[in-house]
Amino acid sequence: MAAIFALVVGACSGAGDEPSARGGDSGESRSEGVPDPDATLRYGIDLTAAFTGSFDPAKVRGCDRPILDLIYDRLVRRDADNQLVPGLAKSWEIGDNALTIQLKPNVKFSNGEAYDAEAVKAGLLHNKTNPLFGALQKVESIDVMGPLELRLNLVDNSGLRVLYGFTSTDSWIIAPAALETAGDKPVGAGPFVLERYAPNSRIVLRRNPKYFQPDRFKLGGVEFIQVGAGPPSVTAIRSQSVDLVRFLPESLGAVRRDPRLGTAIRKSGAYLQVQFRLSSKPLDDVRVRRAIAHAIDRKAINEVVLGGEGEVASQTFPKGHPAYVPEVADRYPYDPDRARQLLAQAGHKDGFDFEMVVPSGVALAERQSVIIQEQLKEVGIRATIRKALGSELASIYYIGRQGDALVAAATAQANPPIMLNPFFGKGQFAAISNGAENPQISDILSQALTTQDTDKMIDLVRQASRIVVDQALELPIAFVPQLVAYDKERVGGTVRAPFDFCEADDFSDVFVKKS
Amino acid sequence: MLAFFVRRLLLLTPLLILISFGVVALVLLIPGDPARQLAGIDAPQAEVTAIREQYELDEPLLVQYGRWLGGAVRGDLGSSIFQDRPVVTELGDRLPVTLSLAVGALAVMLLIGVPAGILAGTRPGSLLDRLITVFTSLSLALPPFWVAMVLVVLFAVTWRVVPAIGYVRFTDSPVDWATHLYLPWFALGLGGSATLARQVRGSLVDVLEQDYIRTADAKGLPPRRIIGKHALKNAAIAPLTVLGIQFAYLLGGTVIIEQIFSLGGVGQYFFVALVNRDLPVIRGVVVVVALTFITLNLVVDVLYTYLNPKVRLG
Repeated sequence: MAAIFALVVGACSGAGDEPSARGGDSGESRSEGVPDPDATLRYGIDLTAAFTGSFDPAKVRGCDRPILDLIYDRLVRRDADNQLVPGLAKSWEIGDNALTIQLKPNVKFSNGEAYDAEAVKAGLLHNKTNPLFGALQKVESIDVMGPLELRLNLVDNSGLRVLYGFTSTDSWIIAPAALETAGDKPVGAGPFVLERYAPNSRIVLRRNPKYFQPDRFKLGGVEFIQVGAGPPSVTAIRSQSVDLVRFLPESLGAVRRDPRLGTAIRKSGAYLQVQFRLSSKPLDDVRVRRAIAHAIDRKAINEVVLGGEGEVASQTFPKGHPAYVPEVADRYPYDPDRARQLLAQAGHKDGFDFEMVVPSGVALAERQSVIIQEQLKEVGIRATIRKALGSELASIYYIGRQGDALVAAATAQANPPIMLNPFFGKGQFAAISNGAENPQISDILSQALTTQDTDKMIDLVRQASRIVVDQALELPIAFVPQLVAYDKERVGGTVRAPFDFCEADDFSDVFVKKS
Repeated sequence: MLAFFVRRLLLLTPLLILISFGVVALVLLIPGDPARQLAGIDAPQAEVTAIREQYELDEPLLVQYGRWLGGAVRGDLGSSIFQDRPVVTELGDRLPVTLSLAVGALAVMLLIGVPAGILAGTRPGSLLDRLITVFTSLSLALPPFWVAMVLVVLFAVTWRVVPAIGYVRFTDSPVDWATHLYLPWFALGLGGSATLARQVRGSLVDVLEQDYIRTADAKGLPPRRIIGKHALKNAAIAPLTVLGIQFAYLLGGTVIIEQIFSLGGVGQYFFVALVNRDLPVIRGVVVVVALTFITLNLVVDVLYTYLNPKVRLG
C-alpha cells in the first residue's frame, strides 16, 4: 500500500533539552523528568488520514499504524538500520516457498487468550481478506506445526517480502474471540487496549496490564486527538491542547520559536522526486535526462521546501540505508553549464518544452515544482505545470498518459526492492505508463524479491539503483524529514521521529512528567 | 397551508433524486480512480481489480445508482470507500458538529447584526451609524479563515482562555461544548452579522418613513414600542430572506473553519471525500445537505406568513 499520491511528511526537529536531535539523523530528542506512570499522553493526529474508522486490520485502508500498532503489536519489527528484528515472533526461517515462524512463549492477548500458533494462523487468514495487505496475498496456506510454530506456504519464494510486510501492517493479530467484533472492540496482544473511541474526535488507549513486556512502556495511556494536518497541528501544541504532534517542514520556524517545545527530526525514506515519462520525447534521450539532473539545484530545494532539514538525494535510498550506493552519490552535481552542453549534444541547444504534472494540495510537491520550473528555465528548458487532485492523478498521468513528468513525493517502503520495482519492474502499473519497464532492472529486482538472503537482496537492489542513477531514470530531489514537536513541560524521555509518515511511533521511552 | 406542505413534500422526492443523480454524473465526469488511489501506484493490477469488485466500482453507472437508490429509501446511504463506516453513521456523528457550528454562528449573526442594524437604522447619518458602517465594511472584507486564525493566536495560543481545537458533545458537557465553539462561532458568524446589520438598517430606514409609523408616533406611542412592534416586524422580511441564504452560506463555510479548529464535522468529511473522489460519501452528503436546505426554505416561507399575513402559501 502506499506510494506516491499520498503525501507526506511529518515532523520535527530541533531543539529538545539535549542537542542530539537538531541537525542529526538520530531522530531523537530527550527531555528529563520524573515519569507519572498513570498519566496519558495526548497525541494530536489527523484521524481522517490516520484511522480508517475500524480497528479490524482486515478493514484497514490507510495509515493506521500509529494507532493499531499499539493495540496489536507485530510479529516482526525493523530496527533503525531497517534490519528485521523479532517482535512477537521469536525467530523465523525462510525456506523454498515457505516461511516458518516460531512465536515467543508466554504472550497473551489482552483478554487472556494465548497468543499461540492457532491464534496467529486465524489472525493472518483473517487479515488476508484485506486486498491491501500485499505480503499476505503471497500466503497460500498455513500449517500449525506446534503450539508456538507455524509454517506459511507461499505462492513463490517471497519469504523475505512477507517478513517485511509483517513489519508494517499485515501481522496485527486479533484474539480469536474477537475476530468478528474487532471493528469496534479490538483485542490484541499489544501494549495498549482501547478504552474509548469518539468517532472523528478522539481515541483513548490504556496500558495493557497483560502485555508480555510490562516494563517496556512508561505511559499510562495514549489519547489520540483529532488535529488537522498542517498549521492546525502546530496551533494545537502551542495552545497546549495536545502534548505531541507531527508537523510539516513549513511550520519549523513557528515551532522553533516556541521555547516550550522540543523537537525531534529524522531523515525519512520518503523523498521528493521527478518521474520521467521515458516514452515521451525528448525525455527518451538519456543526455536530456542527465541535463535535467545537472540543472536542478537539489540543495536549494531542500533549503526552501524542507527548511534545510531534509537530505539532498542522489538516489532512491538515503545515506545510512543498507541499499545506499556511495559511488554514485556525486553523479549529477548542480552544474547548469554541463546541462547546457548535454542539451546541445542531444540537439536541443535552444531547450525544449515539456509538461510536469503535480499533485494538487500536496504542498511539498507543489512548492518544489515551482522551483524546478525556475531552475530548468535557466538552462533553456520550458516546463509548464499542470496540477491534478490526488484522485485524478492516476487517471491523468498514468492512465491518460498526459504530461511528460510527474513531480511528486514518494513514500518509504520497508522492503527495499519495493522502492524501485513499481517504477521500473516489468508489468508494473507506473513503469508501463512511464515507458520505464527496464528488462535489466526488472530481472535484478525479481531476484531481489525472491531471494531468501537479506545480504544478497540488498546487493541486488544496489545493482538496480546504480542503473537507475546512471541512466537518470528518475530524479530524486530530497529525502523528507519527519518532524515531531512535543511539550517539554509535559513530555519526558526520548521522543523519536518515525521513519515515514505512516510509520508507527516508538513510545517505548516516552513518559508524561509528574506535575 | 396543508396543501402547501403536501405539494412541497411531493416535490421533494424527485428533487432529491435529480440532485443525487446529478452529483453522480458530475463526479464521474471528473477523471480519477478511487480503487487505484486506495491501492497505491505500487499495487499490482489484480489488487486494484479486487478492490474495484469489492466496492462494485466496475458496474455501470445506472446499476450503481439504482443500488444506491434502493438502499437510500431504506435509510442506507452506502459506505465510504476509504473509511470503513456507513455514510449514515458518519453523518449521524458529524451532523451535530456542523449544525452546532452553523446554528451558533447564526446566533452570533443575530446577536450582532440585528442590534447593530437597529442602532444604525434608527439613527441614519449619525456618528453611530457611520461607525457601524465601518464595522460592517471591515467584517465583510475579512475572510472567515483569517478571522479564525487571528482569534486562535490571541485567545487560544497567547492568552489560553479557550481551547484551540476539538469538539465536546453537548450531552457530555454543555459548558465544554460552548467553550470549544466560541471562536469558530465568532469567526463564521462575523461576516454574516455585517450583511444582516446592513439589511436590517436599510429595511428599517424605509419602514420608519412609512405613514403608519408617523401615525403611531403622532399617537404618542413610545419609540421602543413603535420600533419593536410595528417597524421591526415589517422590516424583517428582507433580513429573513438574507438569513436563510446566510445559513446556507454558513453550512458551506464550515469546511474551512472545521479544518482550522480540527472539528470533525460534515464539511471536513465532504472535503476529504471530494479529494479522494469517494462517491458514496459525496452523494450522501449532498443529499442530506440538500434536504437541510429545502427544509430551511420551507421554514422561511412559513415565517413569511407570520411576519406578513398578506403573504399566502398556496
